[in-house]
Amino acid sequence: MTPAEITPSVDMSLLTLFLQAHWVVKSVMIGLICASIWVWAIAIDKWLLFRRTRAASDQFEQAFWSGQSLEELYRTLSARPADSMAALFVAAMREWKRTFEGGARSFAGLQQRIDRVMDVSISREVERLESKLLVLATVGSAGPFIGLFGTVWGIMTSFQSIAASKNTSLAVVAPGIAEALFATAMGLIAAIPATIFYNKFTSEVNKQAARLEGFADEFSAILSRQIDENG
Amino acid sequence: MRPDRSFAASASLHAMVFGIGLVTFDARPMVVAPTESMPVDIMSMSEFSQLTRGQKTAPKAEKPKHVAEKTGEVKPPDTEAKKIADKTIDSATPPPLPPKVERPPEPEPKKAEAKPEPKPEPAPKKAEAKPEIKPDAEALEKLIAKTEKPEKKAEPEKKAEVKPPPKPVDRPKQPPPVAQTPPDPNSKFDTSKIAALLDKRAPQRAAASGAEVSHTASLGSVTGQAQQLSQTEIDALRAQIQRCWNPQVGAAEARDLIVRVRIALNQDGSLAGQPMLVDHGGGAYFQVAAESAMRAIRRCAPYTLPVAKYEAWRDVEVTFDPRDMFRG
Repeated sequence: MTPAEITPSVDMSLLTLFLQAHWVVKSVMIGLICASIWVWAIAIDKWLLFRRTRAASDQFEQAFWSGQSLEELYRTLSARPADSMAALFVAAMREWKRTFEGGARSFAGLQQRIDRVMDVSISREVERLESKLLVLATVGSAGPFIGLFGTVWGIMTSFQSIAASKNTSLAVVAPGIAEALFATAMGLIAAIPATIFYNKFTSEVNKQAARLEGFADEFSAILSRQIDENG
Repeated sequence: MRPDRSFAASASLHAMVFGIGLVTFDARPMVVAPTESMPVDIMSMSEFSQLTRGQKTAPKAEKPKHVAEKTGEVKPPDTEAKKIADKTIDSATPPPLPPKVERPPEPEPKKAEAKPEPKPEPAPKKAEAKPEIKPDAEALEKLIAKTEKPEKKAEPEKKAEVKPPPKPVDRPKQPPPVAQTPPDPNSKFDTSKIAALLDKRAPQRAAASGAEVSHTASLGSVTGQAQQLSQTEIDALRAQIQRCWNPQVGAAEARDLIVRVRIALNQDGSLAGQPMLVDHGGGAYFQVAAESAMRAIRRCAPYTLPVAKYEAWRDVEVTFDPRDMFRG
């Protein structure tokens, strides 16, 4: 900050706050804005994803418990790429059919295989649901610190301006402090929604995972009954 | 889900928020008025505890003190104009310069001059005044021109009936001839000056009120409890004793003959008992020094000290130190 900028009346709009800042503070602010944009993009993405997943699961459960033939359901679902619960069902049914169509003599390992396949698809689904949530967690926890770093740097420069002008009046100190605090504000703006979204989506993922586990157990029980009847 | 679309949505959301921020968050330009620093005195804890008791709301003074006026000898004022101005008002003081005596000092003649009869008078007066004042003729002429302006103006007025005013001094409007002070073009109306002019007392006077201890301190802290003698009272006691003390200038090692004497005093300032030596040093010279100190205390016996602080000086220890005479 040059002494020319230290005038008794300081323009305090957002743009001048940004433009007057040191380049380190500027880069911190830009990084935090990018992080905030990313966080909100992930949040929108995830919100749509969860809404879609919930709707698809509801739809699938309705179809599954409607008394429709499993073979028929499998045929309709395997035609198009399915997700979450439908994918679980398709994976289990594929394993079942492969065993029966292969003309296997023993069904001893079938139950375990189906369980394992369903576990794999559950973990794959959960991974898909909670992908990028770590970004939210990172921004939520590191954002304030990054903003604080910008603040510390800005206050350092404002102290340097005090030393340069040998004057501790508010007019000398205030602009530097204001732009420095602006960096912390940016960090908080990025971090607070990130933390909120992270908590919300983590609980959503847990809910979805529990729902998939429940379905997998139920389907496994049904298939186990079938195996016992066949065997 | 297409991440690029959610990214676009997020970016547009941020752009919107910052756009609103740019428009609305136009914080008023921060104008900092320069503040004056406040002078601060640092006082020690003991100074603070030694504050005398007082109230901020204490009455200022019960009655005005009698002001003794002393009029010194009349000194010639620094400016002649002032003197003349004084004279025009204060006719009681004898005019020190002869040329002014010829001018009638009373305001009545001036009024009379406004009439046509005394018109010839001022002119010859000036005429004869001028040759007489040789030493400071120029200054006096100027002064006379100033002081007698009303008169002079009265003249042209009369003349104006016959011919236009010959002097540029004249103004279209005539000041009333009763005006005693000459109107100075570069002076402003000042009531304090008028008051000073109306002051009949001698300008050399020196007003003074008698020294008196104020019984209601208007300064000091409410919690102040100090009954200690203040420095001025110690000085007063020291000065009173000092008058009567003849230190032993000729004694060997006179510098070290420090005598400390304890004095008990009555409320009226007289000695309540014999002064006592605090420490008895050795040597013949010390005895002599102690004797001289005792003598001094007895000789100046009734001391005048503030009665209000009697508790503080009822029992005083005085140090007779030849190096700095005394220390209370």
